[in-house]
Amino acid sequence: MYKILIVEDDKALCNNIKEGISKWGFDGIIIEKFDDILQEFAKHNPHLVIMDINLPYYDGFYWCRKIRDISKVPIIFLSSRDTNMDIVMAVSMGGDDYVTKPFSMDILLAKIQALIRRTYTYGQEDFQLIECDGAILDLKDGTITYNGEKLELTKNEFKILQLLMRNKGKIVPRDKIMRVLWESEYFISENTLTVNVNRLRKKLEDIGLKDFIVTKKSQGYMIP
Amino acid sequence: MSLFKYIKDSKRPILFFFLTILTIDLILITSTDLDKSLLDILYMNLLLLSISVIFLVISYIKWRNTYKDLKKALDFEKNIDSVSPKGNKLEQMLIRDVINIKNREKLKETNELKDNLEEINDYIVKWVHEIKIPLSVCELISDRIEEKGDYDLSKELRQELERINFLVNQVIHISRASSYSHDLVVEEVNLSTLVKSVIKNNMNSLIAKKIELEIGNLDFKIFSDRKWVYYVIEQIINNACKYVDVNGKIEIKGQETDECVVLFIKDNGIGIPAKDIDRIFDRGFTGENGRKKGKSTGMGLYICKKIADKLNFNIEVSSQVGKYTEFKIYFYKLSDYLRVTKM
Repeated sequence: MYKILIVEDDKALCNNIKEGISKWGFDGIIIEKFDDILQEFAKHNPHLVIMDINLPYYDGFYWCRKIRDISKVPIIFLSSRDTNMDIVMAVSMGGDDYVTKPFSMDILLAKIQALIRRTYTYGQEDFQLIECDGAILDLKDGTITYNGEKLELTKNEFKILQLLMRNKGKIVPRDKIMRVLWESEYFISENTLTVNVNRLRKKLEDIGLKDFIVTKKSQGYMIP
Repeated sequence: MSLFKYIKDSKRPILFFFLTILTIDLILITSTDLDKSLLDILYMNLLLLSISVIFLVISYIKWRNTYKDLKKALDFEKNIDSVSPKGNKLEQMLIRDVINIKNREKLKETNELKDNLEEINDYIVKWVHEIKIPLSVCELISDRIEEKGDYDLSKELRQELERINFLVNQVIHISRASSYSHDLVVEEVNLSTLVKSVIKNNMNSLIAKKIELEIGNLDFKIFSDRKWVYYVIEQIINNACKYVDVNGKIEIKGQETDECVVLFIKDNGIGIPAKDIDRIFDRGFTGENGRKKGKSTGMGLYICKKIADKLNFNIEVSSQVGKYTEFKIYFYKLSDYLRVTKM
């Protein structure tokens, strides 16, 4: 289980982030004392750090530099400051990514996963694959394999399928699929989404995956 | 500055001169032991008068030269600091002192106001940063509500959050626009990246309204301040979203000419009535549409125009009621950009 250190002085935000990432199997560690974050860092030895900029005692830039002196752990800045200066500072102090508040959990999670993947599991096969009822989605080349038959997916289809497979057994609202697609700059309309899903279903049927995706009327889609 | 005015101003010395002549004449005439002719007296008077007139004209010219620049500057309401009268006469010294004292007073006053404004702006910036923390928390809470299966509620909450966020950003931009320290950073900006980030940050309302986006080629480079251009595009897209019906359509595309890159943002919404269209950039103007929808502050486009003037790009709008509204933003190229230094 990957440990993530959350350096943020707002309690409510900390708890929500901790809860949000815990669903994806990350163990969030909340800091109580802000006068010596480096010591907390050394104590927990996390796999990734989420760092606010405005902190008591010293700011996030300072702590980022301190951590960089002793570790190469990925650091994501999380701040409401959004001027170019702040972002440049964050990167030059050794930050790996920058998320501005307010943010959605999807974005933060996507960045955490990308960094974890790049830092720790690159090349490890199991992290690049998602499996559902014998169907295997390959995250590297965007294909799905079932019973030895391989299927190429378009980018939209791949995104949709990835989202549904990660949430297996849960309804994924159409709204959420739209948001994830829009986040990746596919600004499709509701109608296009329907078309996409139907085409995806048909493709899946061709390799023997019948009724893989179920429509939940006026709610969304799910893989049962 | 006429001679007449000068004579009027120096009527006392003139009167004094005539009285002196009169007294001398009277004494000369009434004195019995003098048997000079009247003609000689007249001759003397004429001589004295011509000497006086010469003196009068000379002092008039000097007077005119001293004050002519100041008068001109005052008439045309120009800066009077450099034209204050020289010389050591009391009036001239007084005028100089008055100008200096008034200048100092105004400077002090302006500095105080500047400091106050700066303080308020600092506070606003801090406040905006603070408010974003609970906003982030609410955003995460809406994720949790969705997780629990209440999709409609989380959707609604998300839309409202996006609206709050939009308004909060407007606050910080308005405070920056009126602040003395304009934080302009002109750099190369990719129009496509910028437009897409605007869309992403406003996607909840766009998705909720089921708006169809048609994005044409936007792969152009412009030279401007990223944050401000972002703000302008966001205002226009947000307006478009507000004024189209459900299932409406927004078209965004770019075009490049020799002098500029043009960004087109067109919606098929309710349009702007002809009587309102010239005033949409006025401060506080909400127009018929604003009143109908009831959510308009009349500040958004006003700030856009202000920024456009400052950064030397141009916004044009055309519309037909019930059919469409189209905004065109002209970003001038680097060669034309030098004009920005004028501001």
